[in-house]
Amino acid sequence: MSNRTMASLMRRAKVDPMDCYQCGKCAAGCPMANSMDLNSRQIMHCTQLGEAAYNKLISSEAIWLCTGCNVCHERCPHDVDIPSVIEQARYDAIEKGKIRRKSKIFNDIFLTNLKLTGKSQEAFLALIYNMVSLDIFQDMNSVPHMLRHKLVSVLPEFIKNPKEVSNTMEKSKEWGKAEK
Amino acid sequence: MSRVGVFVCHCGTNIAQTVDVERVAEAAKSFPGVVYSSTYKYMCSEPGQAMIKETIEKENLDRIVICSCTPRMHEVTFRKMLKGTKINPYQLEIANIREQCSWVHTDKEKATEKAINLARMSVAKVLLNEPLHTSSIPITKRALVIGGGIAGIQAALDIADAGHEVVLVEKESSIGGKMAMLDKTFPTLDCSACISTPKMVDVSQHPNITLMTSSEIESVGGYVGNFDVTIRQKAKYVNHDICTGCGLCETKCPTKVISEFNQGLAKRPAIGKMYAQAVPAKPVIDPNACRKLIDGKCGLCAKLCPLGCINFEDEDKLVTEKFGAIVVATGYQLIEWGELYPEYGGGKYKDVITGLQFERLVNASGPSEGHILRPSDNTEPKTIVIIKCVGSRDPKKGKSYCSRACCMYGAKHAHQILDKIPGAKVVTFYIDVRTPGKNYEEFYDNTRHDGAIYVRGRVSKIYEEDGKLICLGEDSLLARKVAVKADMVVLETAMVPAVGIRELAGMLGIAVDNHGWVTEAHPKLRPVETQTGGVFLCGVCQGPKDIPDTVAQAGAAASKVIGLLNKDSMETSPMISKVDESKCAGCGFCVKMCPYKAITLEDIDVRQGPKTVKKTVAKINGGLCQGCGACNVACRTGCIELLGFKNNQILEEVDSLCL
Amino acid sequence: MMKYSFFPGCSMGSTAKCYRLSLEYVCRQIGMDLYEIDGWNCCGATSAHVMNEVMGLALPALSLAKAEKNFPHLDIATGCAACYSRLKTAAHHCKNDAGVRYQVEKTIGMPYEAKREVLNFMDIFGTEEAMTAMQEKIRRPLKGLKVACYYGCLNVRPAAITGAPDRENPMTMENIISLSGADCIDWSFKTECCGGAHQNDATTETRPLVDVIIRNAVANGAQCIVTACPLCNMNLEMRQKEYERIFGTPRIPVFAFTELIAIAMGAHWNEIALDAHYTDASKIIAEAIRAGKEADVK
Repeated sequence: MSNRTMASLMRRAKVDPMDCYQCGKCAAGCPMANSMDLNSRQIMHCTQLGEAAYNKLISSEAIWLCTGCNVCHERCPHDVDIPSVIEQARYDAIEKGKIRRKSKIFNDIFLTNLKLTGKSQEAFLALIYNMVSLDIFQDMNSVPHMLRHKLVSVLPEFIKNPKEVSNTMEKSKEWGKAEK
Repeated sequence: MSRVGVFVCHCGTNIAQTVDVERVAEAAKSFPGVVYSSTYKYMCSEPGQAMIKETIEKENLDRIVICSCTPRMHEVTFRKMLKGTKINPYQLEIANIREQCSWVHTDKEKATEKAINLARMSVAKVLLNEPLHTSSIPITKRALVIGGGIAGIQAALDIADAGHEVVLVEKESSIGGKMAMLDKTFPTLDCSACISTPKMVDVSQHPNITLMTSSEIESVGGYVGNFDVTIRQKAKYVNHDICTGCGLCETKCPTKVISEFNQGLAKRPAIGKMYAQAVPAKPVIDPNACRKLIDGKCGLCAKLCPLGCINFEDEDKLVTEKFGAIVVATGYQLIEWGELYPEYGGGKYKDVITGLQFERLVNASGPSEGHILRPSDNTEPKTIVIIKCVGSRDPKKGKSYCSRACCMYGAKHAHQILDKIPGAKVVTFYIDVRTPGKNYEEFYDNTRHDGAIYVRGRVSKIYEEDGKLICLGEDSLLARKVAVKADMVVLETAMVPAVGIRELAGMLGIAVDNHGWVTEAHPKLRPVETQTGGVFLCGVCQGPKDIPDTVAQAGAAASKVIGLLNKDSMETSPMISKVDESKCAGCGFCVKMCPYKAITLEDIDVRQGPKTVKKTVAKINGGLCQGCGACNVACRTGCIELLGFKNNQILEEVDSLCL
Repeated sequence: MMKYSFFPGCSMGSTAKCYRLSLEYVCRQIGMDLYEIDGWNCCGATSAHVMNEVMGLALPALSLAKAEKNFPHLDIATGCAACYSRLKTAAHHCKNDAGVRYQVEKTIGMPYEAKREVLNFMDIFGTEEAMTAMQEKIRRPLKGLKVACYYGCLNVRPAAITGAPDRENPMTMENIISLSGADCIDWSFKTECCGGAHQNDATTETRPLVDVIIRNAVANGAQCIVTACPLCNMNLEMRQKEYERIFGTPRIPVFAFTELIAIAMGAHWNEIALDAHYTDASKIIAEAIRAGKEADVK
């Protein structure tokens, strides 16, 4: 591939897109394939076709729906590390400000919470996510059970030294590679 | 003073487009020893050769350099040409300015420079070339064919029909190979047994063919025209000289074991024929199953046999025979898919079967007498999924290559299911459909019109739920996942070389590729020869192919054998290794290095002053040596030289380039 | 020597209460010591590595570096498949790529040599020593209980990170569960994805995944599912009422695999908070204990 973006993708993902011969075994086993606007096989096809198709890929919903389960890579006859391609495509998407709305909300809340407390607080996360994403009642019928059995605490918990975590997170961003 | 002529070939535009041939010819004039140089459009053509011959006369040349294509292509052509002249055919050098120059470069200036250097090196070498002379060896007019499948059968019949004696060795108790297991053959749908069993009978009745079943090659010695082969004839425990093949012995055998011929779908007794149409039509005892042979009890068959053929004391026999030529036709087996594909159940689902198992199911002489029934419960499946490329085109889990025949027999399976099961549904998962053969595409087309559904995608997983085998695939033309609920799944699995091919190849001194397929001497121009003279190949042992290709290749191999055996003696290449006995220390390193077993150690008498003493030296067998040069490199005293490629010749080439 | 650095992960202190209590119970019984990493932090889960490559490695490496400092001779144990994957990925890259290690060390401000292995509790309880120790402590075998062992994705894949020998049909959890006397069923969805964190932000897309997993377990005769991950456990268990309503999915109790071992070792109901499960499991457990006792009498 002559194109620099594509060459960089290949290098970062440690994948040669031309290894893929479009058999579709990846998509066949992918739990999310039928919900994706581009399934795993089409994702690889986009990386084979060059810049224009790649731009379509980084604007897709699909790269945000991948659960990272790795079934595609596990069964691929040519050992193509598709999750790695998707991961790098997501970083390129973030740099261009193209993030699926709900993914952005969820990840932002998760990371903000992490920065403040050093650990994730499932109940708070869910609550805030529901309000921001307007899915107010999602999973809320489980809350009474959780409270009754003390599966979640009412107050946020902190790790010993949350500052270390926020420092690490800030410094991570200095290397680039997506979210700044 | 030597008189060298240099002839530079244009090869149409193959060379001339990238190399300035006129400049090469001009430059050559200044090389030491060169008295003449010219160019021509096609040196190998008749006028080209005539021009060279004429020039040799006119310019009184005593050696020549031809700048053209690789010596593998036309060295032999030009040597033949020189036979009619006063120049010895080995006073010739070929400078490869095509494959190693014009074809691999684009910069004309630099390519021309390189071509001039290649010519310079060849001229330097040819000045040191010595006349070499071929010798001749007698030929044993008998052929050995290894493997009794359709390839071996065809080769044996063709050689025998030409009047030469043939020994056909088969490791199973009957010839017939895989073709005998098949039901119908694509694209004509003629019955496999109907067309192969007459040939099997021909083999058994041919006056020129000796059939050795239950036999394997133990060792191979000798060389082209004069092989010494030791064959192990395994104990049959039945005297075939008196056995009439009545079959009484089979009827009461209390031991039943898995039938290999029926691919595990049925059982067979410990004594018996491999299958009804077996040739020879006589039983053998399986020593791994027979109770009498394992723990001394039973012996029922011996009591039943009216002629007293059963001999529990029978032993393996070793016979050594001489052959002039050997044909390797060892065929294939199917890949062991179970452990490679846990996502397809890894073999735990009885109704996930291979294509060969399907052949037995649909075969009238098979375990279900031709009714397609599920192995798990003997019911007729209504929805059948066919999965292609299982183990093929899968470098991670299986083999990188395409097994070539599966697309067609997959289509044939679909056709047979739709033909035999009314209302059946067939879904074939494919990646590509490959039908390059006469009437193949039409057959595939008909299968689709019959109602077979082709879904483009490789299946990711097969699992069982509520008595159905659910096949998860992607319809990649719609980019949608599909889950087909099947009653039976047929996996069209990859062909892999027969067990033991590497050991056999080692004995024969022939090469196999990294998969174990036997390597031909040249993929296009010498397709049925191996690198070892007198050893030929045919059929799937060379690589996956279908029956028509196998039979054609068997005929080709046979014609090569016939051509060899028709001669009383044959010329050997003079470009072989030569030992300088005065320098040889007898260390034996070269013996270990030689891939052709052409070197032995021998004691010779040498005079040391007034005394005669014994000395051990390496001895080259001119019939076996293929001139590979491995011994030259291994020799610690530098006493072995390859004629035509002596050290001083090669050094002179290097010097001419570097000094 | 059964001693490990322990990375509990965030869920162990909250939703995975049953898992943590039973894990601690089993460890006490067999004399296995878990040393909680002092000052451990969240591994970053899916969000960190999705949003920033270095962050996805640095956050887990921060805890690993502390473990290396506090207990330099101990391998690191974690009970969550997602934590395991993140920790192991960070360790793998730091071990095999000097460039990554440099970046990570600079980011966390600590040295990290990635000398010790990251292990999940199937690795740990699957060792011969642990198996023998557990076998000796089984007092109350669960007879006739049909169990589907669910591994999820990240405990087995990707192979290059986990080194799991069999990613389609692993058997370590079955071997461990068999000690409890329960019968492990053969089923086909033990390494299929539960949707992970996407059960939060892509609900319509991921809900059906759990439906097919539960259906296959039930179709193969399972009475309960056991997991080795708090998130898998929650995804399979928490929304069963919702699944029943939408897909007609059958309901089935879901446990952490350590819970069954703890019960078979004689743990009291309350000791491991068995009533905290969403789907009542008391009947099938009581039945299995009763059957176990009967078999013992015979």
